[in-house]
Amino acid sequence: MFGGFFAVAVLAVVGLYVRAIYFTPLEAKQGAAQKIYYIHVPSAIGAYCAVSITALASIIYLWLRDVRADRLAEASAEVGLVFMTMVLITGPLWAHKIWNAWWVWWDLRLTLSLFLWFVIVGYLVLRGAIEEPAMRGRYSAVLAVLGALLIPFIHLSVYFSTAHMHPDPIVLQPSKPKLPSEMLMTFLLGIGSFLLLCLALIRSRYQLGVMRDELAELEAERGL
Amino acid sequence: MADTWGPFHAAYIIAVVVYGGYALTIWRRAKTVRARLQSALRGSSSPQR
Repeated sequence: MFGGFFAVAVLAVVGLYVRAIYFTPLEAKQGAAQKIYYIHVPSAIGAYCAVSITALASIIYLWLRDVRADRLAEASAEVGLVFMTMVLITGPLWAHKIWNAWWVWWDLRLTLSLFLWFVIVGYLVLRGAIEEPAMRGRYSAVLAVLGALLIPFIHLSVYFSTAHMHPDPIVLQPSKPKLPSEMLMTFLLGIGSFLLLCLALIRSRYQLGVMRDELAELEAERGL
Repeated sequence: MADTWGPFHAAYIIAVVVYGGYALTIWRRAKTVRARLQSALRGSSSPQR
């Protein structure tokens, strides 16, 4: 279930913590709160990655009707929900110190992120509500593809309007990153380690899905 | 500069709790399913009356 890949991911995250806490300088204006950046943005990228995998697996399921794709879509949606939850927890913690507000409803990026969280919850609730596997796979796949369309809007939302609180991207942007090299290295380590963690969790959750399907098959056979 | 260590500590601790807690739920669910699977396999291999 949790093999060497998961252990490598955990070690990478531990490495990120050590580097972010002890070996990355404090930002002059924001102080220690700025270090939330090293887990907030990587969590968001992990969530985007998981939701994108859900959408891709859903397209494959709609095309080939392969249950493995449906299982992968479910696994990555659940992991995506965890990562998105972390984004929505760490963001307000940071914002409260810097903006003096936990949440700003008129900010497009914040509101769209919350909306994506609700879409993932809706996806998982929908899956839980439909018992017939083919119908469940089909309906949830359509929702997953539509939900994933939010990702580019969330990323680009800061450019849509000048009236926003959320800062513009300082690394994931067309020009050169605006971070000092020590902070940039920590940030890149954050991205790498959280992506590894995201993939390791999806892999473990997928294996759980395999076991569940085996059990359901066996119980159905015994029921006959 | 205002003291901003509080939210930093909170965020890093919550991340450990959320991600670690989620990994733990996968492990627990897998443990339950594995036990049920083994019991079902034992049941299916026993002679039918």
